[in-house]
Amino acid sequence: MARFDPQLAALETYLAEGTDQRLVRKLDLPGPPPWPRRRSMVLARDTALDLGSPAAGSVGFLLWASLAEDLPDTDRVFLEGPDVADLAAPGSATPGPAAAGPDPVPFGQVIVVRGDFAADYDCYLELKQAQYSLALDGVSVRSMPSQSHLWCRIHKDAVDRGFGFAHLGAGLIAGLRHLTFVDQVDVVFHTAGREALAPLAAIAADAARVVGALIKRHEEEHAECDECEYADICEERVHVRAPNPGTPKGADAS
Amino acid sequence: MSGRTIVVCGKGGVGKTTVSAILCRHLAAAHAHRTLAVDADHAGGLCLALGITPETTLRHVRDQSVVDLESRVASRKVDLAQSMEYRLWAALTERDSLAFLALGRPEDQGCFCAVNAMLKRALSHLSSSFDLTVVDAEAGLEQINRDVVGDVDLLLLVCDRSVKSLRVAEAIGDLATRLGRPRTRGCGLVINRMRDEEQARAVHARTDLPLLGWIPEDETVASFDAEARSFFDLPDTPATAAVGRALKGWGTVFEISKKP
Repeated sequence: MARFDPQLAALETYLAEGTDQRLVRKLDLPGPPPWPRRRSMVLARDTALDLGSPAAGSVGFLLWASLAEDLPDTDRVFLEGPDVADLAAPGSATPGPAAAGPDPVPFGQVIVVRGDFAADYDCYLELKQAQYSLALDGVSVRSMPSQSHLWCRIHKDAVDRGFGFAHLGAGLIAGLRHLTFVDQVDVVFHTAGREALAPLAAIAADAARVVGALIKRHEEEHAECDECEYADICEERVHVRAPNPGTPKGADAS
Repeated sequence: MSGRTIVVCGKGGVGKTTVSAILCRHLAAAHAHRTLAVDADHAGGLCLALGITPETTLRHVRDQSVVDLESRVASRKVDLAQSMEYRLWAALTERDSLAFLALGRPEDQGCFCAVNAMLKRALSHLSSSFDLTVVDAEAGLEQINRDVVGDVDLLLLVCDRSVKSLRVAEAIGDLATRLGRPRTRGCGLVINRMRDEEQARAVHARTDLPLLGWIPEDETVASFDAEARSFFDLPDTPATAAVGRALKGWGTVFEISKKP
């Protein structure tokens, strides 16, 4: 079994069910020029859309897998729920002081990267770095990997200029496609409410354990497999199997 | 972004927090600058003066970061940095163009080194995202001596008519000068609770520190302070006018009057 097989299968089921119910739709990627790149800080008073704030709830995670033959080689962006322009409509703003900002919206973001991940751990670090390097004008993104949380604010000016999830997806894809080992990227956004985030949160929790096992394998010189909290993962998935105790870091464990 | 930093310091009881709070009130009302206000005093005086009750403080951010460090999924340096940034932003209390961050106080016995170290990281991380950062520092020399506040564009040394407060201001000014540029680019005296300009000049005559402003005794400010009412609700008074005038002058030191 490959590293994220169960999570990818669960995500596929989630998307298929959403598509059947016409909740998930594929967005057209925007044409050139790309959305301007600039690191932004968006205060509440300037925020048109507050996605995944700590109060609203969020799920954000990244999976990677080998490029499957039956998958399209184009990058794709999916959205479950309303797009930015609909969420940021005047009616969505909270009455009261401007500084309070709009009502926060529960948010999900899943990235699936396909390519050649021979050097798994190094690839993981580069993928994370590329993900964190996202800098789009009028958009501030904060993430908390330990909790799979993602908090994104979109500036009123950006909404006025037509910013949507297709631009956010395109920005993420552009950053990831710079990596030579990445061949295809899917991005799934979720704005359909907190309840519907639960399945994604469950997938994120499973994925976090797999990543935890990967990190432990590479960062701990001596792994006690019998007592390890990730023994079940290594048992099931050959790619994260721990080296024998005493095996130098980086040695092939298979 | 310009990322200018004003640090307000001095002896305990001279009115540092009052000066900081009036400064924050003025900047928030002007709407021109995105301002980060930092209550760097463990006692939390600026929180009270601005009527802000932060849900999260830097101490909480630090405690949670320790948990992150122990979590394998966030054990990488890059992940820890991301998590800290997330938690710092979540700890801000926003009011119009002003965002507020409180230091909080440790629950355990012992020194404040760990929380001060967190403050240093937070300032280094957050201040570049704002046009202006105003730090209401702890009384005395420690946060300057330990370089907690980092690079300072303007160090306001607050004193009153007491010689003791003037000597503490001189000691802090001397320390900041010895730490050298670019650590502190501008530094000077703000004399608080003055009867009139003549008294301010008499106090200033006792020191070589440059005078950056003086603030008159103000009954309204004193009553707001005594009743712990928010300085955001403070009407225009002689003291607020004096800070406003002084701020225009300080603007020439590092161009804070320029709208970004």
